[in-house]
Amino acid sequence: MAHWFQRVLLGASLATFTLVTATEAQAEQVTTIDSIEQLDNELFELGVTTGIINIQDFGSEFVTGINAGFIASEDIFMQLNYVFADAGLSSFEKSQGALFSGDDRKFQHFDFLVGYNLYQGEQFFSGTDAQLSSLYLVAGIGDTDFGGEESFTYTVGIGYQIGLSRTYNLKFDYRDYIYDSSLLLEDESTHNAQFSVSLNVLF
Amino acid sequence: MSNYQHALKRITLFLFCTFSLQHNVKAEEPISKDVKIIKPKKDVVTAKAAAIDTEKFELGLLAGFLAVEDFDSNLTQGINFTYHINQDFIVSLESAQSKVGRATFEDVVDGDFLRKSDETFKYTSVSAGYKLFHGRSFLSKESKYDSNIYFLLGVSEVKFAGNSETGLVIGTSYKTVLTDWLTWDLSIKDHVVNRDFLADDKRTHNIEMSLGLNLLF
Amino acid sequence: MKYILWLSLLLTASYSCLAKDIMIRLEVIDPYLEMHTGPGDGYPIIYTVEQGEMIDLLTRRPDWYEIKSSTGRIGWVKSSQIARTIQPTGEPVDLPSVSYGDYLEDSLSLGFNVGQFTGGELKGSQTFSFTSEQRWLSWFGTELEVGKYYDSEVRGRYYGLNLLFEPYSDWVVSPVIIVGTGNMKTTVQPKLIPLSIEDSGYYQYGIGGNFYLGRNFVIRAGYREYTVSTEQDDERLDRWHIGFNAFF
Repeated sequence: MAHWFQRVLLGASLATFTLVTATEAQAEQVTTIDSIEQLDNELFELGVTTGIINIQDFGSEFVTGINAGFIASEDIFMQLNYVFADAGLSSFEKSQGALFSGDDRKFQHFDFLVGYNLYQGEQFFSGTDAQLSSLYLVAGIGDTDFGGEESFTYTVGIGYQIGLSRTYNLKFDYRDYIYDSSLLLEDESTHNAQFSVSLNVLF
Repeated sequence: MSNYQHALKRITLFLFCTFSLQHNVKAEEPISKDVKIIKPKKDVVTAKAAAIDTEKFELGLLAGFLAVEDFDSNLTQGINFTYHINQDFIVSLESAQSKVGRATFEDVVDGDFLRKSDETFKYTSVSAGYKLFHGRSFLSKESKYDSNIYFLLGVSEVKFAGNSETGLVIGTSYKTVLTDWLTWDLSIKDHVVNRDFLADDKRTHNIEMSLGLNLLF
Repeated sequence: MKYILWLSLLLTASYSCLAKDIMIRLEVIDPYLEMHTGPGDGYPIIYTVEQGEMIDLLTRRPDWYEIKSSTGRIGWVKSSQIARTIQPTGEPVDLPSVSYGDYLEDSLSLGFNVGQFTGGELKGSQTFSFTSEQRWLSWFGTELEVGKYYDSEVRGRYYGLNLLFEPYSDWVVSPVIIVGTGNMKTTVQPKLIPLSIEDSGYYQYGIGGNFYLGRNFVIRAGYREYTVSTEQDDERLDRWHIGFNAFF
């Protein structure tokens, strides 16, 4: 009885085995560019940003935002950023009265940057498990909406990133948003420094 | 199927190795007499990356940008002295200054709120650094440098706009060892300090990004 | 008997597990393959795979593949090195390599550019555009363009659809012809004399060039002429621009 049962089972498992190997063999045969495109890749990243921004002639504010990136090559990447902050009163405004109010006190900025990896490297938390890292420069353009003004903005920056794992990256960034503002003086070129930390997921 | 092949390959390889090894051992025995061992005249120098190992101190110059709250961004320059306590911790003494100059709102109301001597932002800070990550950076195929990322926290004595206050300094630093006697670093720091200015007493954030070049000894 | 039964069951299980992931197995035909610790030329070489060995591709990053050797070692190999190896079937792998525009067929790009109007009513205004292009053929694509323009007293935005022709897309530097149509809106008018462009349709044509920095990364510069239909008369504008595009 048991013998009969074993035979059936053996037959069934052998059948599935051959079937699976057959499909496996077939799958191996269709290794074309198409399946290489299907291969698990890590070309995009999404992340959240938080930090401190010094709005020129105004206060320093807690800034939050999001970013999305595309890794174009070994050395070059592109990045979209959006950050916002609520600007409090500057010391000057406190003594002289607010220059503007309401929605205009919201600092909003978006930009499109191209980044270049100056240094690539590997970092260790502890032990020997290496995580990829890089030191990079970014530059790009965007728009800043603050004080009722929309301004054409150049962004330059330097930063470094470390992989926390294969899919999570931690970034430290210094950015300078450069734009002309007429809030205090006519067409004054302003520099707005930002120090931020981002946590990104690669996919 | 490849698993079988693989196993088979391994077994064959193993057998082959053991046999050839035995064969070699047997073959070597008779020539143990009159063997002249030729030693290389020069010792081969083992390549070693420059690192902070025996060195304990760093002395250097730094230059960068400092954004002062309620004011603008300006060049900053200073000196830095760092002591490496052990593999993980450093202590850094730093002194820098930045000429902030006339504020935009002074131009607006056409008045001077600051004396000339108060227009310079000066700080002296003592901070402790903890090595968050240690690793290596590569500039190209040929060049490889030891690089460490530190988390910095300390106290900063800030003189600006008629104020002399002690505040906090917090930041990160990416330090690369170029040679056994030279390092460079990129530091991003926030000087958090109280300022009593225009009848407004508040906590200010002042962001500084600087590049430093240091002698290592 | 029982032994064979269990073995076959085990094999079935392991094979069905394997079949789930997309795996590409290759045989190395080059004398050797260098495995780096990370996806970059600078990362040290930790291992070399020899001719005739089988390797599995695990992950793809730009210009690099993460592979697993038959001995179980994991590392990164430059894609140009793998392109020379063959599949178990005997065919060459023929991974996408540097062929510029030819490779771009059916791919999507994102990019941005910065520029300035140099003639007409908006003369002196700075501009930036975000672009997204779908390359249908190696020499033809359609592009969506959204942008803003800024002058000391003027703010405005535009969006449009452009057709791109790049006949010599296999060249490192290749010419591009653009024709397109869209809408332009001045959101902040100067205090004294308002512009005639308020909320107006436009059409444009332009010439430019692509400079392929890498397989999928392009610097594009160009010059465009606009005809904007306004209430009074057609307004002529021209603009130069330079920017980056990345294909994926």
